[in-house]
Amino acid sequence: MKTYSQLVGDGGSDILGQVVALRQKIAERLTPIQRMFAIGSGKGGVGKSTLTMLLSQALLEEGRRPVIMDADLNGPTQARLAGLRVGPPMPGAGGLSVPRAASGVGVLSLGSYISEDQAVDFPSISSGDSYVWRATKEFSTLAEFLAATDWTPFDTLLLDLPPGAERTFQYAEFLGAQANFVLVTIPSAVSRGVVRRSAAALAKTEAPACGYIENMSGYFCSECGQVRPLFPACEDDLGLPCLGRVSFDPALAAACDRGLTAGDWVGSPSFQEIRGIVRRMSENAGASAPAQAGQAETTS
Amino acid sequence: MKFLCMNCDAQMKLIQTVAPDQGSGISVVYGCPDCGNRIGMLTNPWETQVVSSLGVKIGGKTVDEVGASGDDPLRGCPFGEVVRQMVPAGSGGESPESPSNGSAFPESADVPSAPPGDAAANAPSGDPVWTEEAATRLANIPEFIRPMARQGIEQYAKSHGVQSIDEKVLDEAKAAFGM
Repeated sequence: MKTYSQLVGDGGSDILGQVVALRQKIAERLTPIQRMFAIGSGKGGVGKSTLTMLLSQALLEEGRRPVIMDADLNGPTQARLAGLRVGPPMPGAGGLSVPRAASGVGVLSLGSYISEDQAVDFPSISSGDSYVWRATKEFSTLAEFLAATDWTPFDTLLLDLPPGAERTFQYAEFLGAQANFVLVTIPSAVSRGVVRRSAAALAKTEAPACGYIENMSGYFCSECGQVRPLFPACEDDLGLPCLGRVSFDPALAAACDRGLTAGDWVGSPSFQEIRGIVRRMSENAGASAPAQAGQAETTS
Repeated sequence: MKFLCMNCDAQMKLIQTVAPDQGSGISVVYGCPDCGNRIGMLTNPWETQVVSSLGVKIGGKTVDEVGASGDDPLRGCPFGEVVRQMVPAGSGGESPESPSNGSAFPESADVPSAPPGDAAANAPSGDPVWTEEAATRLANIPEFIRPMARQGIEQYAKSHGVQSIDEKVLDEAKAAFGM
């Protein structure tokens, strides 16, 4: 009897063709994006989303046109950080229109469409046991967003990934060589250990690792103006270049909860550190190559 | 997934997609081009959901071709919309004239979807109708958020006394919502 690889095509559905077509569509849509950064972490709660928003503001200062895609579909936070109110998605002439924060940064987040008192539910014809299909559905939904959004007003895409080492690996395989990965940690040995594991997993993929950011490296005291340590010193090698260290600024943290405005970060010492990080990210990263996403290996 | 006729050692080809019974998944018929033997691939709701979650469409026939009598075999079927999304339109074909009667997912708050070009005939009375161009714009955004967009735009239209949603109304709604 013939084997799978000896049969040409799939008998009528052309599943592979559909996958290739989708990847090509994503690549075409992302043509305006000159550079893509995926911001991941090992553990949750390390400030990845806040850092992503602050990175976007620093990119604006550099004259870039950044857009954030909140890839954490289950726990979207970028809409709140951007101070966006909940409203309906809007179909523009060129695809899904991206809402803008007051600063001008584009923010595409389910948090703009679904209020925080509602769970993000995917329609299903099966009842229960959603663990069987939900992760797959999230990636196909993400692909749909990438393929259907009007990215033309922007040139730099920041993907705020869901937390977790396994997620970093999954997204690295999903995005491929076009995304430069930045991992976020805090100084604790536990967090750094998970990032080290994530870095090792990233090394097995095509996705380039730009480096890591150490958030909450210290506590900024507004009274004495000094940065004091929050964690014991830990200098173990994570296998990635350190892009920079950001101190915890309580005033900035409070501003994040109510939605950031330009005045919130300009004077913050944490933001001075962010500016340096953005420069180093640009130095370490290659330009994104959206065309590569469409060149899926085809097998018959 | 591919299907092999063991008698002929030949690949089986997709023949037909059959409308599901209530509570079941989809059914796809494959046939051997050499001996004519046929098999049916039947999926339960979880298997159907897994395939649906991949974001691909299985089957190669339009829903119109499935219903040979001309009736919409998916009318009233709670999974009709899922099957419609999973069965791509044939070459040169259009969306079926008969819309689904309501949301495929009883727990959701989706409003009924009207096909492009036939919106006036199918819209519930009192709701604005969509022009073909406006409906095409809506169809080009991710399926997951499409009901939210439709609902928000129709609410905007109603609150402004708009009876027909065209691209100009979409642009006005976009500006009104700060985009």
